Amino acid sequence: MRPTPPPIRAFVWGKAMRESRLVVAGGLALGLLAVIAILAPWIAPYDPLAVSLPEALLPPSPAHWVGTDPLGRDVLARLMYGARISLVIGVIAVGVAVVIGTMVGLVAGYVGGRVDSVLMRVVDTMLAFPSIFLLLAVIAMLSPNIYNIMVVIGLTSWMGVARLVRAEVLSLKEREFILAARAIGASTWRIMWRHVLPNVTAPVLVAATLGVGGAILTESVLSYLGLGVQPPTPSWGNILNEGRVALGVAWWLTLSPGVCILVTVLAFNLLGEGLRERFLK
Amino acid sequence: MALLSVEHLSVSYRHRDTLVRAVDDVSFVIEAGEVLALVGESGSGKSSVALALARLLPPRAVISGRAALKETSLLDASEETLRAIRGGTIAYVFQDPATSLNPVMTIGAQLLEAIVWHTPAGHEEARRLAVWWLRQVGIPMPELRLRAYPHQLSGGMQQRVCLAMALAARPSLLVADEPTTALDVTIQVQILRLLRDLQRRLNLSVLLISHDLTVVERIAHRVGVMSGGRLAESGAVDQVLHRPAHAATQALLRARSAMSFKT
Amino acid sequence: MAAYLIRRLLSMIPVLIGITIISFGVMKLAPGKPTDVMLDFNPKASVEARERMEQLLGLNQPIHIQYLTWLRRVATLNFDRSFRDGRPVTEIVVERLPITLTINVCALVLILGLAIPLGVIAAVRPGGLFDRATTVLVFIGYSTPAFWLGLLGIAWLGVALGWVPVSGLHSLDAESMSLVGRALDAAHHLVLPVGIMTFVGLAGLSRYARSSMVEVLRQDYIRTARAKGLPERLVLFRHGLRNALLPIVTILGLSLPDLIAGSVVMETVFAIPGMGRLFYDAVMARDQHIVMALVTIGAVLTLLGNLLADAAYAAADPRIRVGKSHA
Repeated sequence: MRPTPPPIRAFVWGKAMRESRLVVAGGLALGLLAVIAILAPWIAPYDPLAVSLPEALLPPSPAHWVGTDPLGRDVLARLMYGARISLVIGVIAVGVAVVIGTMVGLVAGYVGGRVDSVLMRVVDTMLAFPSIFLLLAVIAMLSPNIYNIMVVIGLTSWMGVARLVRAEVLSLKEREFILAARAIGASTWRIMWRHVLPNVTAPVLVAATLGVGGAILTESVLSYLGLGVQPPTPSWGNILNEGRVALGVAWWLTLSPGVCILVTVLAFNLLGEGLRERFLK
Repeated sequence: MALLSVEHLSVSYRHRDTLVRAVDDVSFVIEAGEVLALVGESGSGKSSVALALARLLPPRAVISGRAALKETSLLDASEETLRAIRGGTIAYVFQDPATSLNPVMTIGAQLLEAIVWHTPAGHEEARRLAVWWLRQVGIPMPELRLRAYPHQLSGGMQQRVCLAMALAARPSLLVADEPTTALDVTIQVQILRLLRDLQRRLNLSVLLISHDLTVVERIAHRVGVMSGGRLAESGAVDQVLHRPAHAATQALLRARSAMSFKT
Repeated sequence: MAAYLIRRLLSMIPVLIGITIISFGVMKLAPGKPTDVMLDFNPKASVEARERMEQLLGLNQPIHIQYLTWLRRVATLNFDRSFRDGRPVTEIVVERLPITLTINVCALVLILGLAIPLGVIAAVRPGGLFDRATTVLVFIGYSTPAFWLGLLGIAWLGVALGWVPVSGLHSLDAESMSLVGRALDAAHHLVLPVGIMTFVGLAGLSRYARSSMVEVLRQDYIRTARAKGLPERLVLFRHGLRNALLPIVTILGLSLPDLIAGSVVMETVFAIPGMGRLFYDAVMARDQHIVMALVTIGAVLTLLGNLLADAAYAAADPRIRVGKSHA
């Protein structure tokens, strides 16, 4: 007999298995990257800051696996140190966003009423700005350094988490165990801390994982535009910026940092998507 | 010869790597002009039987057995035959009229679609037919309603539209899958009365799927009781409902008396 | 429908006020005063001159007065003058805006034209080969830095192969070209940036189109359409797609800030003299009036985009367009 042709519902054979593969692949890539970042001072073949003009713009070779930059610095060493910067900025920026977003979402959802509508208007307002406008303007005003970058990326990306947490709190609020806790006289903050927060952990974790990828992309754009990590400290974005002068000549300078960004962001996205499938469906 | 004959029908659903059986070796017939009700608890497989007839089940469903409407074999029909059968000879009315009608299309467009695809009627003719059918199902000012969108009608009116849409191509079998379940109690009575009147007037054959014995008692001639995917018992309505032989039937009857006791 | 739109419009007022407060606040973050920038290069500027300047700019007034003064001017689209060349900001923006709008409209049309078919085809067989292939593409699109693609494009297609020009909007000899020739020349310059913006924007929207279509295809009315015996093509396009497009309209409005953000990066990489490049140059030069103007305009454009999307949604969805009362 023929199978019924019109597919009404998604049915994916062995879906669960495929999803766990995503998590594993993303996780492995990130694990490897973290190891490289942590061990960079010991495993990097050269000092990432050591300038050697005679060796400028050497193509990849056994001595310099990924070649050298216009100042003769080893690109591989700079990429390894760049991984530290990207990961740290990504994680801390998202940490800032998660803390702000969770607080705003919890308060808006739980307190409700006028507080909720004011907070949500603030969220709407922040969402109206193309985030790169705010980022560039604020960082330019404050002067670019790693701390400002982390905080400002965090300050411009908490709105999604806030909406997520708020929605979650609103639906939890009506559930029986929260009503029961309130009925026995638990205080508002206690209920939030003990009952609501644990329940929003999974969706926030997923949003955070995806967010780290986004933050790393943002950092690379800022650094490329010269308003991120400042030279000589290496970051993937500013290596690309410095490679611009040799564009079309030193292809390794343009190719390698981009691949690093792509792989890292992809790994975070895969991991986040895998976690979403596992915990939220 | 029976209008519809179903023999050894089984339906299973692929779930992960296993098959879960929903309908297990069910056989029955429906004569022309007859109303057969399939009753049973939710999950007893009665809706799967209804949807299997025109192969409207999701692709993860595996169907086996035989079903024939007059001479046309249904379960192995080609895609093209199937399209002619769906809406043409077997028409469906579903449970929830609010979600069964397309929210962005007018009542008229949805009705005309059913007519145009299964009759030789041109546009003008189809429009006249649509108005006529809306009148048949008791919708006032049908010309005006053609231009209305589903959300502008009440639940009862929406279900009447669904009925008109199902009957518009003069099918020989109407499959009504819990047609009153989603409606208010007073509306349920109206729709049921309408269904019975139309059935008598048009000498329709109906496969009625329901969990409500009161509904069944009102319009069915014969009844089959389904339990755990199997047809536990079948026969004339009077006989089955008054002298239930199977535990599943007795349970349904008990549930009904408990319900009526409460109200 | 009018009532719906008026309600939406009213709900934008607090957001509009919020936008002006944040735009203004960002400028006040800067250590020092704009007069520093203006007078630093002029060693002869005396203390008195500085004070006179501050008085002129209203910088010695309390912050909320400064805000209200600024707001009153902004309300009449007067964003003051650029610090660098002294021209009115509005004049400069009006000059640059059409370029950015053209690029974004082109990219948007391409994104829509590709993303919706991609999403719909993937949704028809979720988990099928096409679905999985586009999923991979979407993940890569999500994870690729657009400016890097731009650099690769310049290096490979531009410098190495010489297929496309690598910067600017016009060739050097554009002056001598006919009108059509100039248009073609500009289009040639835009192939790479618009192509890259399309690829990057495609990811999100095609995913969205897919999930919207998957959701619609499980609705009861799709089963009704099939039960009517309609051919699959009509079930998918007449009954499915029309419903699936509704939420896409909304997401279009919401993705406007991303597009504008993309312009900043793309116009900088490709040296296209649009609003994005103007913004970048102004930020680097700390030209506050321009930065302030563009931050405000960017946000207001987003709001307008949202409003347009809402209006389009209301016009497309009969549940909003025609109220319940009629009939």
